[in-house]
Amino acid sequence: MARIPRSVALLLFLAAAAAATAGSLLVGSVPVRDLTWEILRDYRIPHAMLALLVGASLGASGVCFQALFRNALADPFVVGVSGGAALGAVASIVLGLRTTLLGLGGTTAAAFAGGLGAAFLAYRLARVRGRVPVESLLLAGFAIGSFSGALVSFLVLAGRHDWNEVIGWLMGNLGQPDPMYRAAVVSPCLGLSAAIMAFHARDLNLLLLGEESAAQLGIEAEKIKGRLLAAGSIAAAGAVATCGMIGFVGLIVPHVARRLVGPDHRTLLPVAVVAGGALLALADAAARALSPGSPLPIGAVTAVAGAPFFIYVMRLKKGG
Amino acid sequence: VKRLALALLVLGCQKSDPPQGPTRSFRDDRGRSVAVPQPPRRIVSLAPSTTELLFEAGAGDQVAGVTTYCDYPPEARSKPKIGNVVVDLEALHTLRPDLVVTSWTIGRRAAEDLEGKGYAVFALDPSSFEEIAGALIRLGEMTGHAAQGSQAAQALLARVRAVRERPGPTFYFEHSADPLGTTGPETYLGRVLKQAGGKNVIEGGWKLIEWEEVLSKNPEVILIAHDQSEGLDRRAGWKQLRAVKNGRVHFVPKEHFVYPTPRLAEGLREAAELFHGKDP
Repeated sequence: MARIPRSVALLLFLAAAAAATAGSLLVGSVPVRDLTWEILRDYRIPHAMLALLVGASLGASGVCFQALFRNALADPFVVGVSGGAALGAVASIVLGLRTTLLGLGGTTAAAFAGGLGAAFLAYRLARVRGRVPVESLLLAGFAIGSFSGALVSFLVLAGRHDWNEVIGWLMGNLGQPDPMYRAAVVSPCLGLSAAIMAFHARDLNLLLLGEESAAQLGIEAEKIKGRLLAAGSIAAAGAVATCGMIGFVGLIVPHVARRLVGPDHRTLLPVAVVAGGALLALADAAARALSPGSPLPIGAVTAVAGAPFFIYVMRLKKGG
Repeated sequence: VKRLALALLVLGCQKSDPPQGPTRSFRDDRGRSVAVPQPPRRIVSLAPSTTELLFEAGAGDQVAGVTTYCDYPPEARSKPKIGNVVVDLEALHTLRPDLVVTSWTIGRRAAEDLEGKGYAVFALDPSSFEEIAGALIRLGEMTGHAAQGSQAAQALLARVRAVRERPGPTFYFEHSADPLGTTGPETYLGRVLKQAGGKNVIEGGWKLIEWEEVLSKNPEVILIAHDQSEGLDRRAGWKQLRAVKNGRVHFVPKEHFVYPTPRLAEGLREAAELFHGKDP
């Protein structure tokens, strides 16, 4: 696969995102003949926006973490964000925290805090004498993720609570009845983290080359790593707190984007943001078109479609 | 080591004691004839609904074990626990039950498992008030409380008859908020809501739906049977819904609607009242 100029790639994915969004506006439980402007305005358009924003967050976070960790398997949830968010969400469900916090619903707020808390904990645990080796960060994130996952199981069983709600959350769900609210939670997270990543796009290039070249960043290196970790975690936590765990998007998108436009993060980041949005909008349209009336869980769709596609991309790399 | 292995072997092969004394056969809801000791003295119930039915039928004192989900009637909470959604075989075995009662709908796997281990398993699957009454009668008979079982059944049917079926408003019933879970008319709950006089805007059985379907059908009444009321007004188009404008969004206790037990008659009465107003 030849590299293509940034503008072409961006246009390509913008067109794909537009097509997927248009398609997604036309499919759903309500047949086209019964579709009203109110349903489009109140539900379908905000819903399509939410899919784009969450996909974009996952794409941005994936790119950031794959560079930061110099690891092709890194995804938005690599530092334990998803485990921490799941723990926060389930704890709020089981303990019955239904109150509103700063305009956020109890579960959303708890999940967001849990996700960021996990990342921060991983960062603190991995820090030795003012330095944070990425390997330690990766391991600490993995351990925290597994630990939170185990706590989730305990809480669910001990709380005698509805599995329904918890399982729905763990499978990822874009079909919430309040897409506008969720989009309003995701947007600032995406905006903030994308701005930090864009500001440090050159530094991401250096980090990707290894600790030695990152040393060129001098004493700034640790500070920058911390900021990028925060940026990737905020994007991931925003996505996971509003729509549950949607896997594979954050893993595949950076790989596809890198194959298309190369590893320079000044190009890679915007392309991954748009591609992530396009991919999730497409998966969402498929999930609703394939099972009208009762949409398939979006996390399952992205995994089923994503795993083979990921293998395909991986094989391409080997061959070429 | 040899002795330990032998002990394990013996333990592994040990089946529950064959019922001593007289047994009587009862047909359960999967059509199987189950030999029940007369009377059973140590009954284990594997589902909240069967626990409730056993207590209603008068067999509460014979219940030896329940799940952690069995919270009704309150006396059930103090019974020894044999697991949650997963049956703790060791705990169950320690109770040496002579009868296991479970719900066929939710406990199929466990029922077959325990049967393979030699337990007498009686599976219930009532899907209407008549069948719930039938279950009460059978449970009463098999546990030596024929009179109380039949009385409970009569009382249940009388409460059901007190609600006259007549046409009422269109409605949407929500038992889970995330994901959005509801039922169409084809479940026991769906039939109860129909009997209460409502016209369900959703078709089919238990299902997860998209919110836009509710927006499109714009029901006259919305019944919410979960505790996630927070965030309802953030829902798309919420304030434009007929039910919201007319103040006909009602919160109902989930436990009166989701279990196929006599409490469902309470749900029937409540739904009828909400559909038609107080006058029965």
